[in-house]
Amino acid sequence: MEISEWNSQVRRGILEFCILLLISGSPRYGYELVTLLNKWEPLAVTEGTLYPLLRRMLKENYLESFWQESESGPPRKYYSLTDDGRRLMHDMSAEWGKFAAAIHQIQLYRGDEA
Amino acid sequence: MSPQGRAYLERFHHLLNGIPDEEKLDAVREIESHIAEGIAHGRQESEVLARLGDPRKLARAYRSEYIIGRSSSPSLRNMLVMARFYCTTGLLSIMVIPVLATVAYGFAFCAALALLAGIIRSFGQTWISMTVYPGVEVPTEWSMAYAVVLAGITGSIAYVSRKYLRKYMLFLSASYRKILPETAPHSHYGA
Repeated sequence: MEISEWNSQVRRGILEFCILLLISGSPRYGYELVTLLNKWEPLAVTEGTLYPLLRRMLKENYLESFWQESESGPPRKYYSLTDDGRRLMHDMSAEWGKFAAAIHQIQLYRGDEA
Repeated sequence: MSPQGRAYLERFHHLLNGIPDEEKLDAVREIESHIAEGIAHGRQESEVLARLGDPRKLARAYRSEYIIGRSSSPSLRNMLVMARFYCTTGLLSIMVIPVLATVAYGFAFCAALALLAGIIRSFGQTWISMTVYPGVEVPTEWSMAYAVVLAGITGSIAYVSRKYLRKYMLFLSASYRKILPETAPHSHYGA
């Protein structure tokens, strides 16, 4: 398996988690999210992936959106968390901690001892 | 925004078929906003468009997310709407479509056959008989004219049936599409 393929498989699962985290502090708009995610090379995402994903998360009622005028240029579509979204983010955070601990242990001991 | 950017958005909008208008417009506005944002951040429009990628791919991604989002449990009301559609228009189609299709293609076949017979008979082949009434044969030299008249009549019937078949199919898809958006959860769009 190519490393890039593996990366995209791993990322597919955690992208939603990252989006939830990124907008949990303050509402953010699409362009901002692409730019932010691209700061971390393994999380780099294309617009063609992000926007449809945001739309799905809206549909699933994890996000809500509102349009707001910006002082420079066109109106922006901001996303923020719903109660469901916040709950999902907390659940994912807990799961992520377990994953990270498990991988760490396996890397260290290769299953020999804990 | 340049004509190039406009063209991209128009194409994208056009390709979002199957998604309710309100959501379509919202998606296009968001991409428009994204392009403008990129330009405001000092990037070339062509570069922003290139990153967005093929509008067909983008629209396909939206459409597949739309279908996924829609498949969540249909409400009783939507089920009733669907049931009514299949019981009325659906049942009617079982009769209308086969009849119109048979008439259309059957008569078209007859018209072609009549023309063929006319040609063959014009060359003096007597095994083809053409009669106006029983017992009144068409003279050989009139075979072609008679065949053309016959083909004209059957052909017109075929043409009209096919036209109505097409109209009926279009009506059917239009009414089907009309009930589809009702199965989508209308929530926070266009907010």
